[in-house]
Amino acid sequence: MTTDIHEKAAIARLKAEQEAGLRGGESLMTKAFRRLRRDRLTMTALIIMSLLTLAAICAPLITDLVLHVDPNSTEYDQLLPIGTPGHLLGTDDLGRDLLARLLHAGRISLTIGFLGATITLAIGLLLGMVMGYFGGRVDDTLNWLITTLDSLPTIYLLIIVSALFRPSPEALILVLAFTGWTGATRLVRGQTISLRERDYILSARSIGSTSWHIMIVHILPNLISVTAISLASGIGGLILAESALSFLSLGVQPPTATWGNMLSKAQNFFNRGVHMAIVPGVTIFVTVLCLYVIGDGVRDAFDPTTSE
Amino acid sequence: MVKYILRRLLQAVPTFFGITLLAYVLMTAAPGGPLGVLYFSNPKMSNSQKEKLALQLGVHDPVYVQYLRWLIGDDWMRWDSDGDGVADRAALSELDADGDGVPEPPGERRGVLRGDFGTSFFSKRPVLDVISERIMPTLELSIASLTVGILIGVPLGILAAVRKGSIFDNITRILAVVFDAIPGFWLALMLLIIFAVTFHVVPLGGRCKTTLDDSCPPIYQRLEYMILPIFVLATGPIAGYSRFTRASMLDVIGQDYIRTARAKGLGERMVWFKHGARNALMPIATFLGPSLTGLLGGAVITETIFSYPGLGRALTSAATQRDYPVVMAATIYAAVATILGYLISDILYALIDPRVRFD
Repeated sequence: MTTDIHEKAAIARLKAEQEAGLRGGESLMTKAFRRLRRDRLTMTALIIMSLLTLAAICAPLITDLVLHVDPNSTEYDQLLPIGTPGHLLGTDDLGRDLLARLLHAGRISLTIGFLGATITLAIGLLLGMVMGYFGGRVDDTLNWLITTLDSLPTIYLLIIVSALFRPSPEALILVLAFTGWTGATRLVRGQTISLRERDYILSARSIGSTSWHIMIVHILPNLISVTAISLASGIGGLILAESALSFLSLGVQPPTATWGNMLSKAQNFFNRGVHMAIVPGVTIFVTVLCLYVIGDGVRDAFDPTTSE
Repeated sequence: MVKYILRRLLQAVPTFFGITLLAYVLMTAAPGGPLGVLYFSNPKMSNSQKEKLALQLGVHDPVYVQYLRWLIGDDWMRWDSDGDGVADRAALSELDADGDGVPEPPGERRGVLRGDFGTSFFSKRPVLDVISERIMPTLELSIASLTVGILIGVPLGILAAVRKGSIFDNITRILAVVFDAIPGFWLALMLLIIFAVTFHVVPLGGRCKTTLDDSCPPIYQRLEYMILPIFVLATGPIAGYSRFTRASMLDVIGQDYIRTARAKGLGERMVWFKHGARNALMPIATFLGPSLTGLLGGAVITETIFSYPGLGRALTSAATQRDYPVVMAATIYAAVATILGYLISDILYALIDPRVRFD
């Protein structure tokens, strides 16, 4: 009888402790998301970014059903200013509707940024983990490659590769990832080196886990949050790089519109059509700014040293 | 110290070879390759002329021989020992590479390592000359922008740290993110529209007034040409240096010796500027290398927009024309500049920070 009471008391205490523990020791994720929801600046940037993405996804629907214009249909010698009826943001030198082109260009620019940054992260995760875990000759060789690539301004590599190989938009994503993987790899490598010496890795090795098993099951999950945080600013950086390249007419080729190549002819029409330079530029600026703000906000939210 | 510098120099060697290898592989892997460009530029070329050209470029040799010829020249691969104008000795390469029974002429290239980058496909001038005259304008632009960046960025960072949390601090932080997110080329376009097209206060581009002999007066006599490109290029360093200085200042100001300085009754000004700033500015030396890479990269776009005759514009035009020798030379020059930048910033840091050990 007494044992029963004791047991019940113990169970009740345990439950209370568990509940208290759950409340007091929230997971990093829950804390981070709560911090994020309170961060007005980051939330605003997230909303603007979602609207931009949505607009890009629905671009064909919007241009067909709402605007009734084709982004590539030209009219002879027209450069209509902002606010012209039928052309809300005006037209470019070939009479193409700027708003329609802006929406369609968003599809390409955002896709390139998003896919490029994802591939960059994937390469970074794989190579960085291998370098950090195995060390030795693999590490030395890849380190040499990274130092070599980093000793050239990225835009040099981008210009050379895209001028010589004239990549399609799909290949351009790979080119951007090929020039941008070094930063992510160095980040992951450093993290892996610090994780490699932990006790749980040692115990996994002592029960006979293979290296790849340890990397995928025990190290990778610890790296995801570190790298995922850099995704937003990575997308922003790639959008800037793509627009610079397309501005130099070395990126995506017209008539396919991207935010960058919409600007490439703007310099010839300074006197007649300033809006040709302003409209795509503001779009790139707002997009990249939002992505950077999101990147900063997410990093702060996930930083365990941030006080509430 | 000498040992440290020597070791750092040795570390730069593999990187340099990596760059030459990368440049070479990219060029040979490009569709068409150098021969394709030369055939295309002269459609009337006969087959025997084509063969002669191929021979000149040494395409019959194995790839590593071609790379070596480009890197260290071929005057030691096939040479004429008896002075009759026909090669009679050969190393690595064969005397009769194309197998027509006649020995090839002696090699004439001295190779990239000895400053022979070949001849430009389009201007037909030695690449070294083409590139050399572009170095000064780019250096001038980069150094001016770096100086402006440091002179504005560092004081901004110190002030932001001293007044942490103030409106000033917040504004500089916001501006730093904003300038990070503005596409450099678009900023340049906007400035041109405002200052050159609308108000006519600066010229639309160029380095100075056009003269017959391509010479330019000293930089202070043509500020109207320089101010916009320098401003566009300096935004990166200003944002970078101000944030870096701020973080470094806040880090230093939490140290024990600052508390000691305050405890012995020094004024705030003395504490911040003498004890704080002097120590906080040390790590900035390490920032020199990366900012040089950034400037060289930024110069590519800036020079194109402002029609500024520098290395970056040489690269873009050579790359679009597929002028391979010029592209390779520009790449190697940029890489050497970056490697030197990192080297100098490491050595500077080691010099001013007594904690860095040289062994």
